[in-house]
Amino acid sequence: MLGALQFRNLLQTLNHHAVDYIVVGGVGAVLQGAPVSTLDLDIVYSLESENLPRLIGALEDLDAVYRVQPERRLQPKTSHLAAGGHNLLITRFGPLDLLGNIGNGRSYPDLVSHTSAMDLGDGLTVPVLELETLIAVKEEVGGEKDRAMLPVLRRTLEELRRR
Amino acid sequence: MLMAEDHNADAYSDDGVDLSLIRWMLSLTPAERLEALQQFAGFALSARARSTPIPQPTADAESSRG
Repeated sequence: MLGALQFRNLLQTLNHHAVDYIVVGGVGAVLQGAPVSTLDLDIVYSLESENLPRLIGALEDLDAVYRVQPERRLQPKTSHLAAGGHNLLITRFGPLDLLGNIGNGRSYPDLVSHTSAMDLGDGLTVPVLELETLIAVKEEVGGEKDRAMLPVLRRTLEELRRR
Repeated sequence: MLMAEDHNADAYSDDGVDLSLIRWMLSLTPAERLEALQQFAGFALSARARSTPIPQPTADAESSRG
C-alpha cells in the first residue's frame, strides 16, 4: 500500500489545487537545514470553508486514504477535515499527515505569520513554518520523539543566526 | 612539539549534536536539502523492502552450544 515516497510530488499537488497549508515537522526542519530524517510530510491546513474543497481535490488526486486499516480504503471527507484533528493518510506519493492544529492548539491562522516561502526550484514554492516556531511547538508537545529532535533543531537555529 | 591537528575541533556542540552535519546542510539550497531527504527516504524504504529476516537459531542449535 505504501506508494513511492515523493515529497516534491506531494507538495506540487497541494500547490496545484491552491491549498492553504504550512509545511511543519521533519520536512519543514530539513528545508531549513536541520539534519533530521522523516518518512512523512506533515502539514497544517486552513480550516476555512473555501480551502477544504481544494484540499479534498488534492487528496483525490493523491488517492489518499487513512493509514489505519488501509485495506478499507477510507477516504477523508470534508467533515473529517473540518473537525480540525489529525488525519494520518497514505497517498500514491507516500504518507501525508494533515494536521488541523499542532502544539498547544496552534492552527493555521496562528501559524501563518510565522512561515517563510521557500523556493524548491522548478517553480515550486512552499510555505514552511519558521524554525523558531517549530521548536516552540515541539517544546509544547513534549513527546519523546519531539524532545529527541529538539537539540538538533536548536543548534541549527543557532548556526542560522550566526550567518 | 608538533601536535596532531584535530580535524574534529568544534564538530560537536556541548550536547553532542554534530555541527558539521548542520553546516553541511546549511551549505545546500532548500531544493538540495529536500533531495537529500528524498534520497535517504528512498534508500531506507528500498533497503527495508529488500531485507530478508535473519534466521533465528532453533532450540536444538541453542541447546547444542557449550
